[in-house]
Amino acid sequence: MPPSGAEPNLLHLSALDRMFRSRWYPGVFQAVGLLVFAMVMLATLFGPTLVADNVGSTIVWILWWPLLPLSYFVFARFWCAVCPYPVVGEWFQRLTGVHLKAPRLLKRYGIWIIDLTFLAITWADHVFGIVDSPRGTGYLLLAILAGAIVTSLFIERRAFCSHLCFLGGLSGNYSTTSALALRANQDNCRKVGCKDMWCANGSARAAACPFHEVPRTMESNRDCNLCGNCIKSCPHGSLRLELRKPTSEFWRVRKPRLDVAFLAVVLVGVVIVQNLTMLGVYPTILAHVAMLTGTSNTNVNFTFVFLAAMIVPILLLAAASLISSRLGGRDVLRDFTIFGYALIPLDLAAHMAHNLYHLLGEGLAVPRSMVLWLGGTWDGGTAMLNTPTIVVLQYLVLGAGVTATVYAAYRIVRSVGGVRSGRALTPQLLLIVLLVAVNVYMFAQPMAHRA
Amino acid sequence: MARFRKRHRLAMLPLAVGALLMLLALAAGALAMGEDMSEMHGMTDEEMQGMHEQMPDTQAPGSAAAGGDPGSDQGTDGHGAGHGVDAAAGTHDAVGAASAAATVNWIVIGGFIVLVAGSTLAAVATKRHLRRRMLAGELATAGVRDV
Repeated sequence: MPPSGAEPNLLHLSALDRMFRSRWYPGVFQAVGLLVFAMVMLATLFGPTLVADNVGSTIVWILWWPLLPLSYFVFARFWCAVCPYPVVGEWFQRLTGVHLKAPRLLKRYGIWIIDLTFLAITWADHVFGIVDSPRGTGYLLLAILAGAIVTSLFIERRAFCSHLCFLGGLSGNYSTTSALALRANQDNCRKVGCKDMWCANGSARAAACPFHEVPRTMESNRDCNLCGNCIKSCPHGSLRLELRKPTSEFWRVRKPRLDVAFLAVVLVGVVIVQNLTMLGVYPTILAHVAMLTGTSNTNVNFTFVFLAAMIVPILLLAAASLISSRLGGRDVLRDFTIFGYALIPLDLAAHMAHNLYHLLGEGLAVPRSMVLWLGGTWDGGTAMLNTPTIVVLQYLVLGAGVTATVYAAYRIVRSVGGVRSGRALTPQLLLIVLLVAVNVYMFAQPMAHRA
Repeated sequence: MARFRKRHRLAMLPLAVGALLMLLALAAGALAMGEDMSEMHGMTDEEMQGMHEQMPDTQAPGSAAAGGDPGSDQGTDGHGAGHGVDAAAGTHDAVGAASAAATVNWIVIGGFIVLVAGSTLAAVATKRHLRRRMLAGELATAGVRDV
């Protein structure tokens, strides 16, 4: 049955509809991912120990990691459908999986665990130099693979991606900004009187939703990886691949979650730390911190900088939300949550802008390391564009993110309603201006390269 | 039912294993890198300051950063600064460090294999146990029809 619902539904494009319904989807993409990451893991674990010479490290940190945020914006959480790690986990699950339900602790606090893991890895990267070492990268990937396998062996479906993978948290947040969204045509579901919910529970044509989502009531991209199982399973053609206004999810979401907002604010700090440690001014900051802590140990002083970078944005948003709630006559926690969502486009833009430097400033390190790996020589540099051009692109991306964040905050205030709600926007706008100023300052400084 | 719930607690195992694994991976990473990067990561702030002062000036004329030849900003071999090897450094130390790093590498990979194999065996045993109990009707009250 053809897809139903009003335009714009991309499943009306027969090629896309056929692709999603094909039994080779997403297997073909997964096979490519498996091949690439098998090579990456071999290279990082056994290849050269210099990042610039190691094809695995360059692929991960100069190509894949910088492109990841962009992919979340363009293709929503599609990466998670083709990610090779849970695919290997699913092999083990099919072989001898116990298929237990996810424990309540994981369901309730999963994203908090993800938040903490993400912070721990970011901290560890700076202290132990994971990005600086192919072996460190290899061990991190091995840990993700082991986590995916062990979780899949005991817990049903993709519990690792939903509740434990630190990338899952990031992808969940960023994918909410996407213009692409898979949803069900609820009118059609009602009209045909569907009670079996094959889209969620699976059918003979496809497995159940790996994220336990019910497309009929789904309102967020957070837990949809576009695997297409629901499209294959639904006999009524109720699924729609919508093209919506980017970030529109933020003012349409009925039940905003504090954990999601918290991750969004923390990501502001993560990007600041990532930028800060690559700047020439960083040693001066460390020296100031050293005077406060009384130790010259870089790791200890970095930990203080790291904690400050995480805590300050949280405190700032809390203060802005306190004022907003007073002005708008609302609950502080609710304002913290809904305006935390509005920061996600800024996070994404700052993250993408930061990574543009690696992708365009040293993107040729990937072919270079490949050539070296194959025994050849590479005489040229690794920059794809010169720094001034990259800086302009960074500002453009940042500008788009700021616009999206301000617009999202404005729409959120409008959707909340109330006579005084407009005034509640002012403290949030001031916070956004402050965060943008910090980012603009950092992108204006010369940065160190990865490879 | 209560005993079945007890079995359900097994599902917490991946969480514990995951946390342990992350710690081990980080520790192993630190060990492996400690051999060749301890001088960099354990350096004092003053040394760090010195290193940043030696950072290549990306705005220098002729560099890719300044719009010049993209190939000329990262040294003759295309590497960034800091990757060079001091020829005067003792070969003996380098060989020792490489050997220690290789040992750590194999310990981590071995640990990964043991972990995956052990988890698979544990999953098989758990599944068998639950199936036996299911066939005996002990899990009927928990609504379990298949394991």
